[in-house]
Amino acid sequence: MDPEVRRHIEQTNWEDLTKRLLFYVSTRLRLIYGHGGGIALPGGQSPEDIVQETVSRFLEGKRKWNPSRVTLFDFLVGVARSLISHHHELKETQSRETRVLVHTNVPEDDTPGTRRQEAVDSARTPEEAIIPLDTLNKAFKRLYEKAGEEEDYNLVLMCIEDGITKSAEIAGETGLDVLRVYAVKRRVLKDLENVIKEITTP
Amino acid sequence: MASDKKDNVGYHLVDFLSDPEGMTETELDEELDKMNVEVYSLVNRVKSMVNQALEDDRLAWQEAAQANWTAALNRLQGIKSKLLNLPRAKLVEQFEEIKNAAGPKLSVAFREVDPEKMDDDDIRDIIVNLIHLENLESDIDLNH
Repeated sequence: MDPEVRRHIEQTNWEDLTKRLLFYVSTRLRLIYGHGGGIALPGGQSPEDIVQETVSRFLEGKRKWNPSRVTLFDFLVGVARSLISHHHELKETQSRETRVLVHTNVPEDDTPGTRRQEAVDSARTPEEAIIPLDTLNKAFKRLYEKAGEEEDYNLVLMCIEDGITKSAEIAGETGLDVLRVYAVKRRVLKDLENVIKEITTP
Repeated sequence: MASDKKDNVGYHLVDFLSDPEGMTETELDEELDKMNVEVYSLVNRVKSMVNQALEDDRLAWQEAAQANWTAALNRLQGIKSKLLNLPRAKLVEQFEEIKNAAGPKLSVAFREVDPEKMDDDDIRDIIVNLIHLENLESDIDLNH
């Protein structure tokens, strides 16, 4: 183990880091996969599984961290994101194979209500319960309505629209106090949950 | 490019909201509590994994040091065996050669040693020690 990495590992508050990582993974899974109710990946991995696997990969040296380039939290977030996509892609490949099997046994007719269409529908997999990007984009537009005339809220949304997602960077860009950005974030999270419910409830 | 940004705004929103930066410990605990996740058993598992990794690393260092030490001893033992076959005149010659080739500190330390006043076994021991110390000294030089 690199002595510098070892020193960081010894000095890290692992309880705090684990909680922050768990918050990150849980929020991400809930916002992207939470449409079906629970917060788990299509393969059944829970946020806790992802966090544990992330830390394990780091400690086993499977993913090398350079402390001078990125903070440990940001590095672990990168590992977690890549694990989430990996598990997702794995499941997607498996379900594509399932669909091919289903398709080969049914007539070539895509008309709704036909056996082929029923077969395609029955081959739907849990990841199809993902909140699609389109829904998130629509939800984002609705957040502007929630923001109304409130300047700080609007400024934060504009930053997100421009791809600026770190609170400190938003604060730098807008001149808002970073604590104010955190406060707006809490409101956005609450509003988004309501907006998604409105959009997805028939 | 601007259109790409607008198309991905949903993902940017997820990035923004999932970043716990700025959350206090209490807020974090409250949010995790709402999410109904197993926080404390996970924290304990992670802490235990970290402690195990640090311990494995410490033992790996000790094992490597032990292996180096054993290799050094075997090497010195090999040298000593070869010296057993040398006549006294050759042993004295070897001693002088190694002493002169050693670093300045060792040359000074062994300046007063007179092989003519020592028996063959002592000369062999002192040659082996000189070689060992010379290796240690070059290790120290390398580290600084």
